[in-house]
Amino acid sequence: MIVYDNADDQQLLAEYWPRTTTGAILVTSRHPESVNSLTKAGKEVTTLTQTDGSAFLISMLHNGELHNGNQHLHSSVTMQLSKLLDGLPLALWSASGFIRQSGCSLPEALDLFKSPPDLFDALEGGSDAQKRREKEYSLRTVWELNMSSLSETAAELLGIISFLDPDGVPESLFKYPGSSLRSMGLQTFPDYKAYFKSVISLKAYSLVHSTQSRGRQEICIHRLVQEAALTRMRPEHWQRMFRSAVELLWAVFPKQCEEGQLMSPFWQECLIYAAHVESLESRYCQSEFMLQENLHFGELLYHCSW
Amino acid sequence: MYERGLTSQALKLALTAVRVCEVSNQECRLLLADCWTTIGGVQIETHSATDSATADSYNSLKTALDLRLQAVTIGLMNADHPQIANSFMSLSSAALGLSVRSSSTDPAREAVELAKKSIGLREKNPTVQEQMHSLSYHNLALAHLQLCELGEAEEAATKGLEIARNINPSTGATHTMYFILIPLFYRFC
Repeated sequence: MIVYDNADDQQLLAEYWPRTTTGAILVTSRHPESVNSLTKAGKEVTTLTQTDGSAFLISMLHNGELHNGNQHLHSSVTMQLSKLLDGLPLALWSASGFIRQSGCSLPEALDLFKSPPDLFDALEGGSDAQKRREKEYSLRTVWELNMSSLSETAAELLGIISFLDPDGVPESLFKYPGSSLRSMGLQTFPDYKAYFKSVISLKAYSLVHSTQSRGRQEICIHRLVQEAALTRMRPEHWQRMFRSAVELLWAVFPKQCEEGQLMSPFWQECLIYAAHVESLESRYCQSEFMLQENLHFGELLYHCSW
Repeated sequence: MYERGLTSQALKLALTAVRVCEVSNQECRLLLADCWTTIGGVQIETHSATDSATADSYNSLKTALDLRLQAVTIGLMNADHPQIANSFMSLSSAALGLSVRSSSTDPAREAVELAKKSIGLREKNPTVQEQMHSLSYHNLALAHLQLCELGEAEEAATKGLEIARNINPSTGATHTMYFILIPLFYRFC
């Protein structure tokens, strides 16, 4: 067995790649594609399922935390925690560490983790010395390294996606963005090719992944990645990305006619984008003080509410 | 969301939209009116048996109507725009809701007047929004029923039924609604 830890440089990895055909190789990397050219027989370790994440969390906690109180309640809470942390092993490990150190109960931890700014603080909690030691391995640090390496358009795409619902951003949202964004002075994607290159870049850094759902190509992102991206944004950048996300959605979301007729013929199309409108509304409510007036946002909210 | 019965989500979005409009320097009366219409509609759908909930829906829909009438005054909207008629119709429903809990006949009387205003506007363009036209007569019938004005109630219901038949002569459901209504007028008044 050989382990290559933090193997981001493909050339360097190739130099030290085993020449034998027996044995096992474990690679950790911020660039999963770095090993693709080196082996055909491999398996990417993805995130844990909700059930496995819950079991992992339980196994990381001391027995004491789970033997006080209702077992059924505890497993229900660990399932919710697993879902909230998107099955990310590092996040679950950090969460278990926080729960042990703080001594809070599982329901208390769940309430705390539901608040995004508190989530990262909690996951990276600990003594100053511990924080310094673990800084290199903290989630936020890993993602910060990845995000700071992105091109401008890839960073903008990530910024926009960070405001939307993480479980499936339809790629159709980005197909014809140019004219509406340019008319608002928001030059983001000159064309679909630029968008396509940006998505490849984000996938290469494991910040997003693609899925096929209901006949649509969608982009998915972890909630924690969203939080990391939003946290690092300066206020003016935050405003611009929010506005871009609003304009993109406003361009595609069905509109009620002036006479106030029913929108039932457009329900299916509304369903595609409704969760993203709700996500924008939630961000707005969290950060109302940061946002300038935006009437298109008001219109978007209305059409979706009707 | 409102159309699909997702009332709590609809209310949340509409209330946020109101806040967005309120901080805007741009003209957004019509958008505000639309938002208050959604809010009032949700409040009618979800009100429990409390006076304050019914009053909330009335106030929201009154706000929507007032905003649209202001829009007419400043030339943003024509006086016979279908949304004005829709506003009168919605407010009539809310007033009817108030009348059910009121010992006074004033809310029911107001519901009648509002329904008539809605109908008056629709009669100018009878082929536009025929379904709403029929519903306006339906609401008028209910308001008269609340006042135990049986003759007027029957007349309004019959007229609404006539319009409904013109929309789709083969649809039985609307007919059934009115055939049930008319005998009820005599049983419960």
